[in-house]
Amino acid sequence: MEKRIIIAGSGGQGILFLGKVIAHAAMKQNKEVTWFPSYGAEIRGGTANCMVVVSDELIGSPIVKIADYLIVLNQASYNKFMSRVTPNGYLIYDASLIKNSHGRTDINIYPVEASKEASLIANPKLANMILLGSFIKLSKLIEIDKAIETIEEIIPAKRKEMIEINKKLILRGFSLFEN
Amino acid sequence: MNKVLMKGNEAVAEAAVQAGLKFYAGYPITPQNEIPEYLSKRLPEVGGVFIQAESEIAAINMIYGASACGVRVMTSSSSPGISLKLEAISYLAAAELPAVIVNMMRGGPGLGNISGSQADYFQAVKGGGHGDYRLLVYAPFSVQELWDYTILAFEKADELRTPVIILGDGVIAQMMEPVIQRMPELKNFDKSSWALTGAKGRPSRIIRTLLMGEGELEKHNWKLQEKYKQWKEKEVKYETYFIDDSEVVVVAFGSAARIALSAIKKLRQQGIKIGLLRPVTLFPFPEELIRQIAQEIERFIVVEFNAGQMVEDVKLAVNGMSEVYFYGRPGGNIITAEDVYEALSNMTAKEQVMAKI
Repeated sequence: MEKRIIIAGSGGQGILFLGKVIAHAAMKQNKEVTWFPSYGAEIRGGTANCMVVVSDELIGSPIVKIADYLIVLNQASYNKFMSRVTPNGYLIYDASLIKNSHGRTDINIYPVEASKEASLIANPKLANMILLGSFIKLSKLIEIDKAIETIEEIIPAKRKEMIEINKKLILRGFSLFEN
Repeated sequence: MNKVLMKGNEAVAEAAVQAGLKFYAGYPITPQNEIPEYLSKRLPEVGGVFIQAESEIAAINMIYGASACGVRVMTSSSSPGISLKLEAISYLAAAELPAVIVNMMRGGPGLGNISGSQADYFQAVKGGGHGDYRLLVYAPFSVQELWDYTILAFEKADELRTPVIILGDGVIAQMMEPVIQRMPELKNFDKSSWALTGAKGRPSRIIRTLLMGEGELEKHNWKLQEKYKQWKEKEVKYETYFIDDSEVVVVAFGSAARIALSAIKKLRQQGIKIGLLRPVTLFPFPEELIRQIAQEIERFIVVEFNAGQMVEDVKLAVNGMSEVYFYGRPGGNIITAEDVYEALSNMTAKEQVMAKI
């Protein structure tokens, strides 16, 4: 089963990193996975995004036109990508920063007070990890343990403090939703 | 062996180091910048030399010089940068100097844009530079293949004494995918009979491509042609998917082949007998296989992210024995699996309609 994810926000919100953690964790579960960044001529203040595809077999295109999951971290990305969620797909967004005004009723919409939650633990700039935790719970696409392992592996050991903070944030995001 | 998640460009760079790369020169251009970025740090660690040259032309001529000295060399660029390197690539081919040249294609013509494209097929396969030369051209379609074929490219460059092109594009260059860092046993190629290593105890040598003696150039050209003929016999690589029962065969390379493959799987689920032939070497081209398939099927559909280049080689091989349809999208846009599915769907549907008539 192929699942397509678009993650979007503005530069500096950890968009590419969020995608990388999902891709790494999927790889650990022996899935096929691709990660594709928006690259090159980005506009200051505009949107940054990446696309992750997880599948059981060779992935045709790493480029996602219609997504099963959309994770958004700012209003501009919300506006830009909202129409690209497949019917019955999932929208997970930072409700501390984004006003849900689109009114789509054919998709599953999950507002997460990600920046607020992140600021209670560490820093509102780490909202991406709260959203990651929520995404894992809601999508069941990757295992929470694999995401935690990934954090331990890809953040350099000398930044041990950051590893612990990120883990806490992911677990917090994970706990925000019922099974 | 453990899998690691790597960007296409990084896979090329690390595979090159593992294959014994000792001299890299290049000039920045998107979407291949991670290659020089990675090597600028990594190559000095293994006693290699990294140079960011003042231009593409300088870089490729440095490659010529270092290769003449007998070390493993590489340069990388993207479409307009490769255009600048073509003169020296012709010289490398003429002088029979091993080199690995990576082209992560972007949209053209002109400065174009930084999106992926396959519009440099002609440039890579038909020469590009002047004179009767050919290059061995590999077209990997995944990050794993970028790793594997980069290593093979260094081996083949030395074995066949030729520049080898790795023809990728912005999509596989920029994406990350799991890679098994396989290491085949590297062969040791003796370059002592031709490399410029200092003339101690032997007569001096010159590696040159100016052949002014009577009959000298023609003789050299026939020697090169004989080499290319042998490649056609021994170096062709391709992969086929579901072609045994297929009535329609798609021919596509690189990222177009990947995207076509997922569309083909979907069409097969609907009962359509469609398969894929994916040339991995673009030169030498799997023309013999295409000729054989053409005798058995009704139609080929060539899918390329350009306005129609490889389709000419498919038509030459088919030689009128079956129909050749084409779906192409010129470089510079992002083409999705949905686009290709729709096109293939229409082109196979047409056939069903015709069958009813």
